[in-house]
Amino acid sequence: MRGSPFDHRPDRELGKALRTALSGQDEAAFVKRVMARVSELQEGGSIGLLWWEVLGAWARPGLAAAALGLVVGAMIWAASLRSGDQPATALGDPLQSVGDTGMPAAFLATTQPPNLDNVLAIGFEPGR
Amino acid sequence: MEDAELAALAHAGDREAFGELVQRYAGQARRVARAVLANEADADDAAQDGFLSALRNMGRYDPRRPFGPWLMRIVANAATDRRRRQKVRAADQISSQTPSAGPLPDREAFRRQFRAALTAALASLPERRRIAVVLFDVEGYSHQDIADVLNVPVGTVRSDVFHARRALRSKLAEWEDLKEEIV
Repeated sequence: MRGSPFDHRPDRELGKALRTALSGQDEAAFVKRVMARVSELQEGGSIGLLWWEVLGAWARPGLAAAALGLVVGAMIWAASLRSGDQPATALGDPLQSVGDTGMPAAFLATTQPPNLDNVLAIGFEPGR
Repeated sequence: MEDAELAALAHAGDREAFGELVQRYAGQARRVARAVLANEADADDAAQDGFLSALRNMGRYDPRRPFGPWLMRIVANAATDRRRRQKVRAADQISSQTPSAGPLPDREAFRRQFRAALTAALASLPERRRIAVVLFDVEGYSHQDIADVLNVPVGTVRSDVFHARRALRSKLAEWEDLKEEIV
């Protein structure tokens, strides 16, 4: 039967030609191969997932987590910019008296490392 | 035994039932995969992926609906995924030589040449049209079933089959005088 592109019925001639062109060799070998793979996966307890399926399953929550992390990171960064001239952490209580620690209050309140000469001077000061 | 019964048994862990389904649909699945992937080995790998994926998802199969379109959808997706993952390979250039070129080869060589030309013509079509025409003219699926496989409206399937047929028919016309020998 000569088929027409407009025909709503299958075109037998074209179908036969395509079937011949597309059919693979040795169907029994293919079936055997698929069933061997099924056995392997069942024995391995993983008739579940192939590695890309695992990655695929994680892709969406992973992207969501990354986006959330990005937003949180951006918020922290923006907050640190707003309070950039204030020290992020207090090294000590600036109201603490010198007598409590034996060190000048300036050493406890500053964010800068102490000057070595001043530290040595305190250490070698007679009567301390 | 009906496909739906075999599917239910396969879902319950019956390997023989699944084997029967593989046997019934192996040819069809390989041809659909082959319509997407030009390379025969890749197509077989994709068809196998499709069967394994179907087994894993057998619980989602609705036994009130035909099994074939459900399976072919999975196979077509597996083939499409594989094609996307593939790195570009130096594809073997399939000759689209017409029968008038050179001396007449023997019948088998001639048949191979015709198949290669038809496969090349098929490969030149958009992927959805390839699947549509193979399911309609080779596997005898209805337009509605193909619409379910491809997840497109029925009208789109009709249009795809029409355009694919027209392109393939023009290729077949080059071999018209010798088709009885080769098809």
